[in-house]
Amino acid sequence: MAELPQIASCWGRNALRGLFVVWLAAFIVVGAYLLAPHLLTLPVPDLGDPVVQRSVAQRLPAQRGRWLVLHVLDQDCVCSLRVLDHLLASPRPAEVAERVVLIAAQPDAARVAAIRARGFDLDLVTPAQLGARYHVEAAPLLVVVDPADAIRYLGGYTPRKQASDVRDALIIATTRRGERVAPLPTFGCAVGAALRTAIDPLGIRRWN
Amino acid sequence: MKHLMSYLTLPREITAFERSYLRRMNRIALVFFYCHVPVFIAVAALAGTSLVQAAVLTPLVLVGPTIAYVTFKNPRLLSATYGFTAMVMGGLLVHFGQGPMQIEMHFYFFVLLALLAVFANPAVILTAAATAAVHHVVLWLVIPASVFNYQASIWTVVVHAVFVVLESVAATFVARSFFDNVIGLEKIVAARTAALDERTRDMSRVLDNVDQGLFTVDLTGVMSAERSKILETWLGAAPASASLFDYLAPVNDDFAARLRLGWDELASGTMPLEVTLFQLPARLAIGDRHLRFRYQPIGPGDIPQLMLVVISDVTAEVARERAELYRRELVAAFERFAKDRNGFIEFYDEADELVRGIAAGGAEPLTEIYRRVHTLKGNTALFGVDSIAAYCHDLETRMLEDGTGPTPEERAELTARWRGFVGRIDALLGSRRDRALEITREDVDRVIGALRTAQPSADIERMIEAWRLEPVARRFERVAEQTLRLARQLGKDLTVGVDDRGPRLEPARWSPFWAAFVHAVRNAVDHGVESADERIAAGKPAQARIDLVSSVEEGALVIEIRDDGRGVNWERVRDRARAGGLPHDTREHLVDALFADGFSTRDAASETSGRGIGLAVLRAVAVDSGGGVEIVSEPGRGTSVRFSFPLARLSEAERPRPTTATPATRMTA
Repeated sequence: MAELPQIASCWGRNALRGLFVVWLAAFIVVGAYLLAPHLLTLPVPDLGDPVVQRSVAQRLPAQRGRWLVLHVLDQDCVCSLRVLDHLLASPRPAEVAERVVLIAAQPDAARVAAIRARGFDLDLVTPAQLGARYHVEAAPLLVVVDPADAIRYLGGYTPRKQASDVRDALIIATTRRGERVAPLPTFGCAVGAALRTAIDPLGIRRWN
Repeated sequence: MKHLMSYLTLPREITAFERSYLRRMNRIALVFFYCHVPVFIAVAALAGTSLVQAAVLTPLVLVGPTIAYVTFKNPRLLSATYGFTAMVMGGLLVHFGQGPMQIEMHFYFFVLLALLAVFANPAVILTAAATAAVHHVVLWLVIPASVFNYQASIWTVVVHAVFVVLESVAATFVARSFFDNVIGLEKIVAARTAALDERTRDMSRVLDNVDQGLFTVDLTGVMSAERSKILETWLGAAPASASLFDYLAPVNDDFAARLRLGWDELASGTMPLEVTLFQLPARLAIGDRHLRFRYQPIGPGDIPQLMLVVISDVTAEVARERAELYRRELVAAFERFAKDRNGFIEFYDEADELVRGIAAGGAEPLTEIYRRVHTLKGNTALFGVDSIAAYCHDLETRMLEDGTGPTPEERAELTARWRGFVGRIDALLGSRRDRALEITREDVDRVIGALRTAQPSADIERMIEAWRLEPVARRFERVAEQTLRLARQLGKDLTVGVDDRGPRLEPARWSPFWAAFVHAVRNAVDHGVESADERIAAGKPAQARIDLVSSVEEGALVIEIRDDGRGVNWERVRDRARAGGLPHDTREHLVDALFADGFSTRDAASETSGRGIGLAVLRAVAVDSGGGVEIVSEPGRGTSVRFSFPLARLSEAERPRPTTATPATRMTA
């Protein structure tokens, strides 16, 4: 590699050094900024929230009297899509009604078709509708509701971020046996505009 | 704590080696970071994360290290910047590599921490670790925690910190060790090299100013590069080959050749080391300068690894030795002159004639030149002129080895040495170079008696004329003295008897004979007379005896030298004669062989005798004088060499008259 030209001018050197200091400070912040989502978990709705209660109680006739599982997935979220791929590929528990709440401004037709073909109930919502209808701000989110519309589980799918072991089946089975399952942290993407702005004010995570 | 700080902090001084090393490492590191751009873009594409983020953020990260590279003068500070940059790059990789492999992407932090050890600076490691720590601290401080209603796991951060600390400690150790043992070692080496250079300079100063030639030589003859400067003054510039033999050959080819032979012997170790060292040439004359060579083996055993050669200028010492030699010669000359003026003058005249004859060159037969040189050697040795006697001995040796006569340089050297001697004794001789007449009181009384008795004037005239002649006794006394002197030199216990019953002889006419007679004396003392121990073992008296006799027998003047020594070993003579292709059947054959040119029963010649020249000279001179010589010898009983000259060959004045014989005298060493 050829040597980079050394800055001869004192003013130029000082100016660059000043820029270096700015860069140093900036990337300390940027580093922390980018680190945050990898460490911090996303908020989940309050179990006592009536909006949440009401949303999970909305069942199709075929779903009444059965265990209901809501899979809240964001079409633009890599973590959500990973969960979706798992749902489409894995055997589903019998006698459990499953609804996919797919958050998408512009739903992908092929994905939608695949979901329906797999037998999931599909609820297409926009990010704004998600907040209004479900009071949910982040995805992916797993909600398990018993036949009496009591929410038995509200939390994440994996014990750690970016994990590949999606534990929906285990959580569903354990919950159906009457055992309590400690909610897994929610690792994924902020969906609501407010939350997105709060954790990514610069919108870096939205650069695509 | 202080120890820890000193461990973590490098010494302030940045050596040239470290600076050069860091310049290279920093350049490589920058290239390494630039290579992250395409890699991170590829990772983002594979992981399904944002390509735009990768394409924008990664180059932005490179802004910092690039600015540092072009502006920072301190290479260590630049390296520390890379520690920060490395952690940011690690973070980006974790961010872009989201997905199932995200945990594995964290390994890159530890790879980077390990790689940072190449900067050999704990500060770089610490900077990287501090960056990770600060990022986590800022996260907790800057990001509004109130937004979240779910507690993030503190243990995740703690686990991160522990691993980072552990690897940082290890990487710090490696970095510091590298600094101490490589970069620091370079400092140590540089310091030791500097010390060594100083010692070398000190050594050079010594060698440049010492007045001896000092250097070592290996067994192939190659000289060490470190040599005394004075060698150039004495011998000129050393050859490119650094061979000692090539160095000396232009100065003295013979010396170089002998040295090379000796050196080959050193390397082969055939002979004991002491013997080999003794035989190495020790003196070298270059013009007026005399150099002495000393050889000191280095290393154990009989084959040394190296030889230390010490050359000293001994010109002054040689001059002193020469001055002392000349002084001794002058004293000896003075003693001889005072004791026997005519004898000394005769020696002087004869030696002068011999030198002229040798120096003249010409078409003389080689044997005649040998005889002249041999005679000159003997005479000068007897009269204590050792400088010329020694030169004649060396000249004889050279002539016999080469079979050629003296070179022009040798003739000039001999002449110069003789002239030098003459110049030194000139003051002694002065104008008194004529022989004095030596007459006894008896001689005077005889003339007075004749005058008183009015004897015929012709008779009186004849009496006075006879004063010009030299009694043989007088000559014998001179020879006896020389014999005794020679015996003392050779460590022989000897008595010399003089019995003169012969006529007086004309000095000038008989001078060549008496000069050659010296050889008979030298042979008798050197060959004939045994040591005291040998004589006692043979049942003889410890003191040997030599008799000088002159008489008139059966119409001939007989001059004889007799000794009671070991006698001639006729069997050895026969063997030598047979080997030399000479007749050897009868005693007469053997006697003739003895007188042949170059015949000697000795294996090696001494300075006194043994070359086989003396007897040949004797016979030649005797024959030239109209006489002959015979040898009568019995092993163990002694030898008699008899010269006989028919009275008819003597001059009128020399022919014997009835006179009172000189009583026999005896002289003891």
